Amino acid sequence: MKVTSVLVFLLLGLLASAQQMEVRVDGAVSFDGATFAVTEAGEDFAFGVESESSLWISIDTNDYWDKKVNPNRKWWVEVVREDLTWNDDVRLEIVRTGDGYGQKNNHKVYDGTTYQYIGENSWYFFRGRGIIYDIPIQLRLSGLSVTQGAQDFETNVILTIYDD
Amino acid sequence: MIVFVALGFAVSAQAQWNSGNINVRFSVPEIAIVDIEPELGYIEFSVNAPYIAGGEPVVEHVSSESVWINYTSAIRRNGNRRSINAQISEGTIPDGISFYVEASFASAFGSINQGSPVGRVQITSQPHPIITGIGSCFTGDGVGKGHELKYFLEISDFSQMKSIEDQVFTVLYTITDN
Repeated sequence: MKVTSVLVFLLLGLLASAQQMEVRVDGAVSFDGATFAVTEAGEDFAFGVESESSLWISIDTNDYWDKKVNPNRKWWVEVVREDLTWNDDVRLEIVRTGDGYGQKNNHKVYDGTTYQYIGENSWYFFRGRGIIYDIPIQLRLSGLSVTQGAQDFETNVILTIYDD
Repeated sequence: MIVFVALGFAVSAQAQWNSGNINVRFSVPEIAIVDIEPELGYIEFSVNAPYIAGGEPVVEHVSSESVWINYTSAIRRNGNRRSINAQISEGTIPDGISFYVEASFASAFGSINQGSPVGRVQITSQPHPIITGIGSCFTGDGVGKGHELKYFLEISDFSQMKSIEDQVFTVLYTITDN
């Protein structure tokens, strides 16, 4: 009996260790090139530039047992910027514009519905429960000016999911 | 011992995580545009007979509107600064007459890195810089923004002057890399 209990506990421990939630990003961010044009001589760029809505986040797990045994797992997502070529005067912000969908009705998602700055330190973005697909997100640029000159910008936005 | 290992697995499960990546990449292009405000079209001078016999003809600046030049410029880091050149692109200046333009210092509106005026410059069919040292900047759009342009028409050689009908010529402004 004692050995059986230990084995069951070990099995549960192994199952728990296999519950690897993952955040998956689909689509690509696109800032319309025409937005960086100036139509009237003497003007600067418009204040803010939104990306086209073609980015989705899915919260999923590849583990079969996790989907069956623990579909209500709680999690939260943090966001951080890792620059390759950037200008500190340029602000990049992110927002969640929808809830996505789940296979069951037990999924929930909270927060992240107002634009928030993506900095070089990881910061809370939104949280939820269960497996959710295609949560739409959007990015916004601001602080761009012709005074920064013609240049290329590149950064990686890292979304990290944590067990809650 | 086995129990201890199982607990280890269970505890480590609380810290599991995974990341997704969004690559954000875009380019701000080089920009160079220039404009004259207001879009009035004409600056008018008249050359009249002298008031007294034996005197010099009188040059009168008929139009009194203030004319301003606006521009936006974005250059690459370490790229050449730009100039605005002026030239006669259509028509000709009558013989014996010289035509000049002078740009003021940039107005307080607008950004850093605006250009510096060269001073009074004679305008011919060849381009002459009137503002130099333009970096990545904007002047603001409209009258009172950028540099005010003042025009001067002078009799340079009275012996070549002839009585003519209205003479029209066009001044073209171009922003260029130095």
